[in-house]
Amino acid sequence: MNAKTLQFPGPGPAEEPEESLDELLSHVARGDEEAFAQLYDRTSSAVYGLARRVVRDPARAEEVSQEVLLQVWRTASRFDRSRGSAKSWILTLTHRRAVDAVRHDQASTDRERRYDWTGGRDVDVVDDEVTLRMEHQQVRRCMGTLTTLQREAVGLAYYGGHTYAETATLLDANPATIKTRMRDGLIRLRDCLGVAS
Amino acid sequence: MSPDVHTLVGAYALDALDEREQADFEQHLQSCTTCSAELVEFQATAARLGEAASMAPPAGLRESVLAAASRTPQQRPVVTVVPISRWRRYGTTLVAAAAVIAAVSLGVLYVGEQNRNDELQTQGPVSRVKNAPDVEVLASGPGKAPVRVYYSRSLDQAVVMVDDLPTIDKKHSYEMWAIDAEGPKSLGAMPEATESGTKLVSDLGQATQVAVTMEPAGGSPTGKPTGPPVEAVDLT
Repeated sequence: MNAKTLQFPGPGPAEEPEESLDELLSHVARGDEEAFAQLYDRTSSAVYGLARRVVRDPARAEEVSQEVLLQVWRTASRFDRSRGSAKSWILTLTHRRAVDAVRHDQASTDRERRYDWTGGRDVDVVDDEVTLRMEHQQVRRCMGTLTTLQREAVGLAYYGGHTYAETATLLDANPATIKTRMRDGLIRLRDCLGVAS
Repeated sequence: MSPDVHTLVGAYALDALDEREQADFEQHLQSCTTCSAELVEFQATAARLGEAASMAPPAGLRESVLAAASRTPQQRPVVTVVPISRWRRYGTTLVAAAAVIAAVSLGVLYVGEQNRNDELQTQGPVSRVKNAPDVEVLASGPGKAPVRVYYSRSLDQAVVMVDDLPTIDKKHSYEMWAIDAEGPKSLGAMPEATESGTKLVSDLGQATQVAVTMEPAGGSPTGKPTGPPVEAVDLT
């Protein structure tokens, strides 16, 4: 479902139908290394980019990416497509691991990472550039439909790796309010992005 | 379900709960179908935010991931078919099997769990150095020193961690140097206006010191330090 919503009708000629990521992942679950290489090619930019955004440090982001992709390889058989698309699963794993890395390194790493949810200059995509740029624009546009507090709460938590309590401190707001803004912000984003189950 | 718990769905999907709240919420999820339906959508929404941050990974990552996969065993699928006679005979098996099925049915939520062996198998190069049996931790000073070097002589690798150096502007970068009898050799410059970072170093050779200098953005144009060290770590 979500994998479908990530495909934008491009201006170019129709491409050959590609195996869906969900199908690819089911091959990976059976130990198909070729399928895993294809899966790498189709997800590594998203995995690395997200890890990089959250952990900031390139070497650490690379490490997190490697761990996540190996986790995908090892646990592909546990993927349950009734609980979301393969892409959603992989990025959920990525985010969790990136956040774990940030919190684990908290004592030794600067926590004042720059907060930059739009991050235009970071985006540097090798393939599927048009689709990704459109994706980026759509996400930006939808982020723009949130209230300032919703946007800051979602951005600090997701891209900054902050807990809601930390987010509340950073925004000088009540933690209970921040929890609520995270949820209603996600609801608004979900509807704007057309995510449905 | 209390309304208060329900509002945690958003924070959970953003990984914004602390460990205890996260565990409590996962417990709650097992009995809250509304929450898990909403979570699936929130995770898909968050994934879109993640994808918008896409960035080409370093070229070496592909080979290292694929090589690691080919020597890493995969988890077997969870078999949910249990002969009925065994269900009857072993009450505890039934409970355990039900727990496994419940866990699998949570699918996407089930991301944090990993045993220690898995962790070691998949740890990346930085963790490998930091966890090496012979790792030495050397710092540029007492207490919360801004530069620390984790040095494993058996691996002949070191992790240099720079944390919270004095703030610099966009026209400057910090650059790290390995200093041996022949003088300083660059270990690379950090991005401009960046005061913290981690670097895996494989070629310390006979270096006796790791030093950090402030350089023009992108690193010293001459290949040698243009100013005195801001911090230095003795390796001996």
